[in-house]
Amino acid sequence: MATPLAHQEEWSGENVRVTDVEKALCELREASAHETEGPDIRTRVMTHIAWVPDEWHEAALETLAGLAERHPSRAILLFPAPEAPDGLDARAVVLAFTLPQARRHIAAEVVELRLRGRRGRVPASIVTPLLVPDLPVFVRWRGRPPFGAQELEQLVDLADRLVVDSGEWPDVPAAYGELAGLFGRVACSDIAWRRTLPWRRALARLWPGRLAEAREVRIASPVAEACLLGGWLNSRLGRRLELVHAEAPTIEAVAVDGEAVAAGRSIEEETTSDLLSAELDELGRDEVYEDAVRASAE
Amino acid sequence: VTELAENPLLEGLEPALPPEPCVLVVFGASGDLTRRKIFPALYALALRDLLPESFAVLGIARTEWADEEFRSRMETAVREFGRDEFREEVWEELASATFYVGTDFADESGEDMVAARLTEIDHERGTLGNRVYYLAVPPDAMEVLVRELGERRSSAGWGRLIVEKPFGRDLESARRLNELVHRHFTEEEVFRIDHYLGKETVQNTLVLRFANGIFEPIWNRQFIDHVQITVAESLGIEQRAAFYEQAGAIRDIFQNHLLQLVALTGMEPPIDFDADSVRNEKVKVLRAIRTPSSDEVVRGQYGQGFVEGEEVPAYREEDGVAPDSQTETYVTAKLYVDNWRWAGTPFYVRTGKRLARRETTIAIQFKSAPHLPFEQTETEELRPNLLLIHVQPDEGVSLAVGAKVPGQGMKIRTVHMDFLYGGTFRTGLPEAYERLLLDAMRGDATLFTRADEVEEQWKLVDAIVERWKRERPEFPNYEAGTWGPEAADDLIERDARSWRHH
Repeated sequence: MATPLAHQEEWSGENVRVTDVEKALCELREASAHETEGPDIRTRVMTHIAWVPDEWHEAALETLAGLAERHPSRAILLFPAPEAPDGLDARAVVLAFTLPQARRHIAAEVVELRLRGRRGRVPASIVTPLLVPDLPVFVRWRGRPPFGAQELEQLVDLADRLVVDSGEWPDVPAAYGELAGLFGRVACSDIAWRRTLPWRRALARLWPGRLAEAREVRIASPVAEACLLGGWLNSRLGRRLELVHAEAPTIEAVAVDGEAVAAGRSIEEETTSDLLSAELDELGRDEVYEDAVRASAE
Repeated sequence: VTELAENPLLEGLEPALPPEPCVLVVFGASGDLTRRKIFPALYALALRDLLPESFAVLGIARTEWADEEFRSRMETAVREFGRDEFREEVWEELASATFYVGTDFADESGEDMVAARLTEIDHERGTLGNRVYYLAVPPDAMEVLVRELGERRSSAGWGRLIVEKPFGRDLESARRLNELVHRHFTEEEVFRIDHYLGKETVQNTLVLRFANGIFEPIWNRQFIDHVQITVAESLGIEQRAAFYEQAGAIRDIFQNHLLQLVALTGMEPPIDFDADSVRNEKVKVLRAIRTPSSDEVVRGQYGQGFVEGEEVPAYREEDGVAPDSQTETYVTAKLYVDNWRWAGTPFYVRTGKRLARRETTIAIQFKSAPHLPFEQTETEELRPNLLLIHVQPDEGVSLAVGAKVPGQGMKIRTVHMDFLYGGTFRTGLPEAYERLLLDAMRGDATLFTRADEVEEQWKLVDAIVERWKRERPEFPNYEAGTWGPEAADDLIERDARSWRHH
């Protein structure tokens, strides 16, 4: 759903304090409210924090570009720069989108923070003052999370939901064991899991038929999706199926005991924005996913 | 639930219970409803992979079309009225499951043709004899259809009946139809559509009331001054003169949509969201509505006027309408729900055609604060708290509260806190028919009207209409493009209240 960007207000600063960012956001909101019949609607459903190491910078901005209009939230992008001298650089943007059939705009706020030097080790103290009160906090961790590291631990404690894409990790299924260690502390989402959804639906339709007695599942896909689908089948069926994996850039084929499964249809275009957007609609713990992760780590 | 327990893979997948294989048999398939609502909804479900894996649609109408002709017309309809982008491969799949029989179902040979085609479809598509019969036909055609369908019911598979509104045209005909339906179908197999119940915003009324702790304690006569429910249309009767001349606003909208909104607003909390739990509570409200006295009901008919800048003819000048028609295009009533929660709290309800704008709203006006510790001049612009549920357009909820105007001294005015669906949930709202068709295929009747609800609704309408028969109204009595007759304003202003006009 492409909604026209009505206007954009922007502020940036180097070596700033968090209070400067808060103040700038207030001023930007006031500035953005001048054109329409009433103030821009600030309906927000969450604070969306993204932890974006350098190598993910471009991809994260691309994802966010398609996301702000769909999830009117406060997005806080954290760019750690551990080699740079200590300090905080910030850019704040208020994006106003035209609301179809209304003469008002909805406003989304994007805050980009460059955490230089030691600032990157203590992100909680920087983002806590910027959280929207009483609303859920989603943390999207780009790349493989450094399980056990202070910055991850701090953001996990802050978050209601941690969103990862295990397709971005180099060491699945081994890393799933570490991820499972977080399940008791924070609800977890995985974009790779979301990509398996049409195939899980298709497989569920085979029950009992070909699945009740199945012994082997062949999956042509990236390794994360194959592990998760295999783990899901094992955990739901309560027994181990042999997983035969062939590498492919997307989930291209699934076969049960040699017989191909017809692909399920997904309405989503499956851009990274669409997939993340779908994950941001989920709030509670996904125990089916957790079981699949544990089973694939075994 | 049984299927969920049996199929371990369904846990966490939505919907938890996919519909079982079935054929959707649409009677009246050449009509507007099939084109504008049913097929666009089926396409939206197909696109989301929500239709049963073994599924077919069989359209039936008198018009002589071949399967291909019907498919081509429905494709045009989906392209025109669908809410999603058109995807060739999705349509092709749905089209390949779409069939048509041009016949008069009322005659024996027509029934034979339909039966033979259904058997063929079962054989080809594995639909197991399961049927959802959708009666998208005028009320006078329903009895014959129900009787014939019932008499030919086979023991193979299940059968469900979706019946479009209006269900009957008065209490007697509704009872007769209910009796006939129940001779062949159990109540659990009957799905009486009031498409308002399929609207997200109408369902959200229940969520607002029963999922939030802050509203229910004040949702009663002690805190609420009155309720206003408006179903306003700026359109005229379009090409529905024949139906509308017989029905009028009271049968077209008041009997169903308006009274359902009253029931949802006034009902007690159900113990769960089960079909009977919800409907048990709704029917109690309908039973508790006191028949309004003659000065508590106003009817109207529009004359010539301007709507959105366009000059529009009077109702009596519309094609197919009698030049001296006494049919009402507007009705308003002051209703009392005589129970502990609502005693003495009026529900002002109104509906009309060719009104100033299209709007469906439930407005809950709370009582004013008992004492204002401010000067009178400071609160001149302060109005009572109002909770507005916007059913359409601008779907959402607003709460009007008093706020201090910034500056020296104390000046207070009313401001709105808005929750707009479109501003918060940035995915398109599903059309009511998508939800209702899927629910009927799954056998979930929560959002459909039960026999006793329909009968209670007709009881009230019959009492009003009976009184109207003894009067001769002076029509037209409101200009198109306005908010209805002056008498409607008088009705509420007598109580020192006024209609919300925006």
